[in-house]
Amino acid sequence: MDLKAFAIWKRYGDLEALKCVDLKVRAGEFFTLLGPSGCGKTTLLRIIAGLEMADSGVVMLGGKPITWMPANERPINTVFQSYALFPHLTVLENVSFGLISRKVAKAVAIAKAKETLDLVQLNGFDDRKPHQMSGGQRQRVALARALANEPELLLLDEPMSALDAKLRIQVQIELRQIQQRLGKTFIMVTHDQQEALTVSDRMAVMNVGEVAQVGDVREVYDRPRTRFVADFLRTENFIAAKRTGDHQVATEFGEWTVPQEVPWEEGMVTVRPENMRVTQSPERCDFKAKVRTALYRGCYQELLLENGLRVETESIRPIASGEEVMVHVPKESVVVLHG
Amino acid sequence: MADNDHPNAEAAPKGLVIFNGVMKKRRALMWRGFGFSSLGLGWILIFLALPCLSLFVVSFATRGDYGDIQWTFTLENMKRLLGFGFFGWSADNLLIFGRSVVVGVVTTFLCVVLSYPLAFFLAMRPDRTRTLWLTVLLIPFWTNLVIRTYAWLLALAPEMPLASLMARFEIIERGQALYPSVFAVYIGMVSVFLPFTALPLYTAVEKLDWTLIEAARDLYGKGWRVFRHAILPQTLPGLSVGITLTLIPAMGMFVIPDMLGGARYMLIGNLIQQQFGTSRDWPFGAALSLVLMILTLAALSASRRRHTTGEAHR
Repeated sequence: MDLKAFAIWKRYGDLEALKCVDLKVRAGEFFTLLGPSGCGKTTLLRIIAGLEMADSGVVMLGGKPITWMPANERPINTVFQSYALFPHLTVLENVSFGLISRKVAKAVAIAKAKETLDLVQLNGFDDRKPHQMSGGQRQRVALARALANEPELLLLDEPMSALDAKLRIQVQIELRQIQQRLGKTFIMVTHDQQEALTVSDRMAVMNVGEVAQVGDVREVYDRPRTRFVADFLRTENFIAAKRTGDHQVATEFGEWTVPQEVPWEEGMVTVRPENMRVTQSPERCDFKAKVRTALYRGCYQELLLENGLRVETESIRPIASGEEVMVHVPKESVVVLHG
Repeated sequence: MADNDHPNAEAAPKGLVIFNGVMKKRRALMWRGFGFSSLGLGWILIFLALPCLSLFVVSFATRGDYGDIQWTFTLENMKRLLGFGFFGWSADNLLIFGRSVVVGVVTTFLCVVLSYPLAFFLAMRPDRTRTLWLTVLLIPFWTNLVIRTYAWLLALAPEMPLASLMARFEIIERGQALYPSVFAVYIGMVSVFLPFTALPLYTAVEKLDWTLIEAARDLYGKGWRVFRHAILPQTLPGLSVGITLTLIPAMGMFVIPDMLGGARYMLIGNLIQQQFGTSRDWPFGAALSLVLMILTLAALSASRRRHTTGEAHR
């Protein structure tokens, strides 16, 4: 089901955790709330789950207001960051917990729990206790425990933060596959932009209690609207510019034609380091710069230039520190920032 | 000594063991072990084993004409325990035992039921006021038990607010006191023992992992189910300490039933006090104490077993 949140405010004493946040999540999509710690993303998730009540605002699920509905009546389940498995119950009892709570017949609940454990590829562990399992297995139990209830909306609170890097990538892929197979709406909270890009259809980047930008993951990644979003998505190169025409800016590296309309007189444009090229031909050269530090990263090399910019280029031809390089900036990759 | 478990124990020659990397004579090590544990052993011997043993021995002795202990051993006291007295058999003693167990268990139960909200209330106070609330809870401890019980006598006296209220609802007659009564005994008992249950429980509640409660609620759990699966397992250690601390003294309590329960509401504690006090019948008192000890241990192990089995199957 689709979820809508309008004008959500939440205060903790003097701290404003959420300032008039609006959010629309479409039915059947994998949506991610991305942001640095303390930006209010977890608070928003908890308000959607019903574990916390908003000070004001409306939360609607499938067109029905659920703002004041307690957590145990919402058709929403959560995968907690710490998993929060019941330590005294077995895996099967954990997974069937929600169904038993809703007075589903025991045989039906157990059959459903087993089916869900199959879905997360965790059969044969029915009688284990959580403490007898590895972190990755516990994470699967937590996912199965939430999915067994067939929630209209599944919430995931930094579900992969306790896993090691290799396992994390594997779980990301599986999570994406499960979501696509079930066709349910998932909302995930994370501070890891890579994770957000990998698993989600759309995402919202949050900044101290506000949504900075919402959109398709590609759109947000390629066209960050503000400096905060660009910075959080590691765009790195910020270049001061003056407007010289509708699609024209003047920078210290020359006059550039940019793909977007320029809304300001003086502002910032940005180019991702991986979009800049080191070139050999003088006519494509936008600027020349000395390399302060060259870092070899395996599949690419990273050049920190003396003018403060950062370029990522292929690593076939080694470039040494102190060398002067010619850099080409493809104009279609220049992003005009709005603030 | 766990020297035999040591992987090198077999490699050492007979009579010798390797301990902390040094070859030692087994006997020398044993003496050293006794040396280390002697303090604790001595403590238990002097303050626990010897008194219990003397209690056991005295319980088979007989009372002299002037209340002294005569060392002629009989089973007379045991017969008296079961109710065979001068005037034939009576159920009085057995009734008193039964009543003591009931009072002890019910008091503990009431304390536990009241302690949960109290522990949560305390744990959720901000740091600053929490110390204040804990002090309030502990202040009665600084007052003598008899004085505290007298305070209850006053509070429950006729024409006091509580009694007037009860009289208004025609539960008691006007001008009547709320004591002696079973109600008064339980009020007194709970007020004395509540901190013993509440404080261990409070330390458990303070460390509570709230995400488990959230998870239970997220999974459609309500009321009892949240308590049963998210709160109880986490607070069980504190709860069992609280039950132990309450049940043991509650079963032997004599001041409160004496003052608030009246002469007809006798507990085993009163009976024992009588034997060592006015009746000057130490052997019979010792036998009664033995019974109390056995009853307490039985009640404790029963409550322990209930917890562990409750733990084993959800």
